Amino acid sequence: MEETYEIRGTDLLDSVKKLLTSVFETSSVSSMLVPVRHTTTHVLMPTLVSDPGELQRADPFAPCFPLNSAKLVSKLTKKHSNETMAAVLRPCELRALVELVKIKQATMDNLITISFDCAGAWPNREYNQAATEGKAKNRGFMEQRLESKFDDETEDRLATSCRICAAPFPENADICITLLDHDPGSIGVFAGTDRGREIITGLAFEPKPLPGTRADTVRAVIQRKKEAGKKVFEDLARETATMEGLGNYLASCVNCYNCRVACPVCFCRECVFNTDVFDYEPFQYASWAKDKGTLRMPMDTVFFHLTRMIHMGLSCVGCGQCSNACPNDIRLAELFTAVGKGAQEGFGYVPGKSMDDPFPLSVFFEDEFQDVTGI
Amino acid sequence: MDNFEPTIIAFVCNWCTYTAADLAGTSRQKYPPNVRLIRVMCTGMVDPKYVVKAFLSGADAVLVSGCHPGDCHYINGNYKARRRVRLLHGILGRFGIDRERLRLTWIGASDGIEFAKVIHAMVAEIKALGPAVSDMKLVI
Repeated sequence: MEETYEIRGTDLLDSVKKLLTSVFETSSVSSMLVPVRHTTTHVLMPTLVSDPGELQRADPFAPCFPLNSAKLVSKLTKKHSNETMAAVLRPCELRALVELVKIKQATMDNLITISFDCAGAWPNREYNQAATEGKAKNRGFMEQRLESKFDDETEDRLATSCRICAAPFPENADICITLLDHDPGSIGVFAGTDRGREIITGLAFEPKPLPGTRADTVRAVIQRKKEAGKKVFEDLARETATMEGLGNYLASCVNCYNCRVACPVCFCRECVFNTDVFDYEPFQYASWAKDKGTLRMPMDTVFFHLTRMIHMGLSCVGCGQCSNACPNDIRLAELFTAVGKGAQEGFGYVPGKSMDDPFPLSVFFEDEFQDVTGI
Repeated sequence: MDNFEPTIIAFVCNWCTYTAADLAGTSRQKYPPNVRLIRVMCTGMVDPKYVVKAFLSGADAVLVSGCHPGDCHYINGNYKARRRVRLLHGILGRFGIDRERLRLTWIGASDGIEFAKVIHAMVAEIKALGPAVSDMKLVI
């Protein structure tokens, strides 16, 4: 049984700050990436903190998820460094990071990952509006969610991607923080890796088993979210059962490519859609329009999204940032999560689960998938 | 839809299936003219985007065909193609492009007769299935 510890502060944030501060002090961490409240505005952004005193403004539990930090960690770790960093990540951010490490766009060699029971987040637009109106309830959001045991029925602003996320609990982070079923204000900590175990045993917190009810609560949350997901995916499958349906679904796409920028696992250094391949000559548009009678502009929107599905579908961790990024409110998170899930099942692959599972298109074997041929 | 003539785009590898198609021609094997052959050096270079583009440009079916397992001129290109086609089956299948419309076959250089047979069968089956996309204007 994994050794677990309890940290008791005056409230949840105080407890987690105690943990982060002691990780800072005992593990010779030079800097830590963690969501920090801006001093003068409502904005909460991932911030690289090197002064432990600044952790007082840290707040990983707000319903605010401006971007998937895996891409930021990639910037911080893509080259070897002797400095040890730590990063506080939502479980979906950690999964995306694992995918980036597999394709060598990030490393975890000198990185301590910290993750927690994720209560989900609001869509960016909702959060920003609430925050500017002073109704963001940064404090109290997690407490409410814990009280309802992550019951999504009682939290109507939750993003769809969070509502249908079947993996909101930390698994393979070095340091995993548990919140569900603890006494109010206290948090539990266990190690998800060997490195995490070394760190945690050095922290001098009080060993205490996780609440006995936790396993059942976690199972129930996952079950509920899976059922919510099933319904969303069924509706989506009906809506996009044909290419015409997909075209309608994506009808308001303006090729801004924001979803690609927001996507943590859209891995190409240079996107083919930015190259000359798609920089057509004027006469080509004219001739296509003549062929078909009409030519919807900008063109290649369905092509773009299908290409993205092929590229990142296998690695899609369901973080929902594509929906956040879309200026025209296309429900991209549902689409990409559903398509990704189907593609992943075809290869028995779960993105972000383990560093030992190779990315499906990076390996191949002689005696496999015989059923692909021979129709 | 009685006189529906499907368009089939076939990506054929230089070393096996293209040579087989050549052999089919020189040995006077007949096959329907619905298929447009695109010669590639290896099925391993068929980017999934090519397949998607073919469908979005109005193809009713796509055939990727190369060397039998173990026979690849570049040792393992056909295994890569197999994984990519599996991925495409998983993704395009959701949007009504069923796996009958995207096929992967292994046809060796000496299999001219087999090549003609595959094209005959495929054209007949796709004719029965009808067009892949009924309104292309919606899927640009």
